[in-house]
Amino acid sequence: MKKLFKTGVIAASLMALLGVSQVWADGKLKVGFISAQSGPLNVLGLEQKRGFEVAMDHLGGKFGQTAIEVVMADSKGNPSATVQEISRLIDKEKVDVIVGLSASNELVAGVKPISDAKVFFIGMNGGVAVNAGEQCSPYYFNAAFQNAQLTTGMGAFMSKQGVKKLYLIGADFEAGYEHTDAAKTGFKGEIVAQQFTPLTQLDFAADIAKIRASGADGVFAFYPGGLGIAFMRQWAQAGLVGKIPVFSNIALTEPTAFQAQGKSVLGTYVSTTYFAGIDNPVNKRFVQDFKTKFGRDPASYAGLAYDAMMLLDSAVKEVKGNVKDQNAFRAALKKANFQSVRGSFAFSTNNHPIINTYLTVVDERADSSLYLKQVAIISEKAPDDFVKKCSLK
Amino acid sequence: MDLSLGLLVEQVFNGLQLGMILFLMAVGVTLTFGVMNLINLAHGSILMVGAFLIAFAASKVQSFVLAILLAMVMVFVLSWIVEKLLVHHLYAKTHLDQVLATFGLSIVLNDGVIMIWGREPLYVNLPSWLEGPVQLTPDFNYPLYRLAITGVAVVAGLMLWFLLTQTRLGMQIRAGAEKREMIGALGVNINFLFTAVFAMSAILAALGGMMLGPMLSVQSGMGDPLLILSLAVVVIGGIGSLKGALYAALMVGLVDTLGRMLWPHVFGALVGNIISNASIYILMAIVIAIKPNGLLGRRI
Repeated sequence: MKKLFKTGVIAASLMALLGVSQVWADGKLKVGFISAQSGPLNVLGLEQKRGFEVAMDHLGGKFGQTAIEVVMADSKGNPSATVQEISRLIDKEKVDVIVGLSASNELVAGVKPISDAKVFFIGMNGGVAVNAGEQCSPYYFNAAFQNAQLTTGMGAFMSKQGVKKLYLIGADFEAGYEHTDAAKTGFKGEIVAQQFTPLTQLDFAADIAKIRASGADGVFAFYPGGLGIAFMRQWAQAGLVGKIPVFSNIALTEPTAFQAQGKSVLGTYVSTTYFAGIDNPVNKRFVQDFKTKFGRDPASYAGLAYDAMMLLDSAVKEVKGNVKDQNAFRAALKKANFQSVRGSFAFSTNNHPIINTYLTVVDERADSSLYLKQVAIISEKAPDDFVKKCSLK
Repeated sequence: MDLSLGLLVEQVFNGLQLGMILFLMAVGVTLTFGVMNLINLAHGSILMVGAFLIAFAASKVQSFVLAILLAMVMVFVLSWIVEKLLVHHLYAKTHLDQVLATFGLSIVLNDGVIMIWGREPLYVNLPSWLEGPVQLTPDFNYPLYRLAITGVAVVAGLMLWFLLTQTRLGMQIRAGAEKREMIGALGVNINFLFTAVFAMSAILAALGGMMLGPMLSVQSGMGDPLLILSLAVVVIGGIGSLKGALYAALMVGLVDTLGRMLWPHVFGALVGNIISNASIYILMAIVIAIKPNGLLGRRI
């Protein structure tokens, strides 16, 4: 009898140690949500959180029968805060899955420690080239896009719009490099300059003067969130709106920024994978509920965060909440068996999505509010450029 | 890219504008140190509070000028209270205590604005008469608002000069900056003097924040990078010296702005970018190496 009791105790503690009992016993899944909610890129992180909230409303706080417990974390748009918060989520909070991250420099720092801990991570914003290629990970899924994927196509379009001398400018971090590089592909004219400014720099006087003096007849500017707002306001104050056209991707201008940017962005062409006007029933419901809750169109960060949560929902349901069976859970994620706000959605072998990209332009409604109008489809169901460099099958 | 004369002139304008904003900040840092022997790390947060108050006031009243006046009054009241409640007790403490306490104050202010206005950046819309560019020469347009900033900063600087050199209060402040013990011994109400200097410093920093508000996004912590720059200005100019602060602020503004244009031209894009981002600190290192007390500093 005593021996049996002893075996029972050992077995129970082993179970507890493995954490198996926890997931099955109370049917709860701990999700760590991390995004840049303060710092220079907090416009992104806060909008992701809004998309996340609408997703939680739609899911009713549950993945099927599995209740969701959310742990919030603030990555502050900087790599060291990201790593700190991730180790808090993993070591202290013992989350089962991590979702989020806003900026590319956070991804560069964050993906490795999460993968090393063998925790699944679903990225909600642009993925970095190395993580899609050489350093792809079986624990990292990006449900948004790969940086270059979003911008490739703008080069050819700028040439078509008659740009001969292009000035590339962007924030000094991975996304800045990757988006400005991607904007060069397909561009036929002369590249006048490719310049980067610190993430903390909000005064662009010296740079705008340089652009004007360079004789460029087109600008590609990659400035997400608050940076984009400051850049476009100062662009307007310098009287350059309508004189030198500014091109970008969705990062520069979207519903989060419209009110502050005002007419300075009217007529600006941006490429994107998500905008509120995508026509399908899933997106209509999302946009409607987002509008009711927050009073304006969702920005791409919100739509992509929503998609990431729906992806997670589909996979957790398929494995019935048992994410500890990592192979089954990974296979379920790879299936991407969910209704995306972007219509079609599938994963390449490197766990980055195969997506449509659109060319949109900032237009004005009858009530003079701004919105993104679709101009053309740039590419349909296209994978990213780095799949072949990834060893995952 | 050609280094045309027009571009050079424009960048000099930009440099002067940055320099004048830094001067508004640095005056406060150097005055509080000179007169009260106080190191104030909350100065950047006071600039931020100024920007938030202008955003708040501009959303309540129609007139931009009235909004600035309202915001100034609020900053004055706030800084007076902060001085009486907290800063007042720091004058007799060591510099380490001051650094800790004012750093704490800056955290409180940075989080305070989040509690009141949230994490979303706020925006101040310019009145239409300040928007757009102004034509200075046939082929040279300059943003009107940036000119206005430079103008306001110059006027503020002149008023400060008048206050310090032509009034009794100014004489006492200058005397306090030279020999703090002596002016106390001569029977000047030192408590009032200290509060006045602190409030004046706060108003100048907040004025900088109000000017920057419509150009940048107004958010928590926006003043901290400027505090670092203005500390560099104070170190270059010589701690406690007002003239030094002015020269150093203009120098830093010009070195930073012209450097951004020049260094990439000389060293190529990559190295040039790195050098121009570090140029202020390189300047600071050179000045300290030659004159350890700063350009016009006295021995500490």
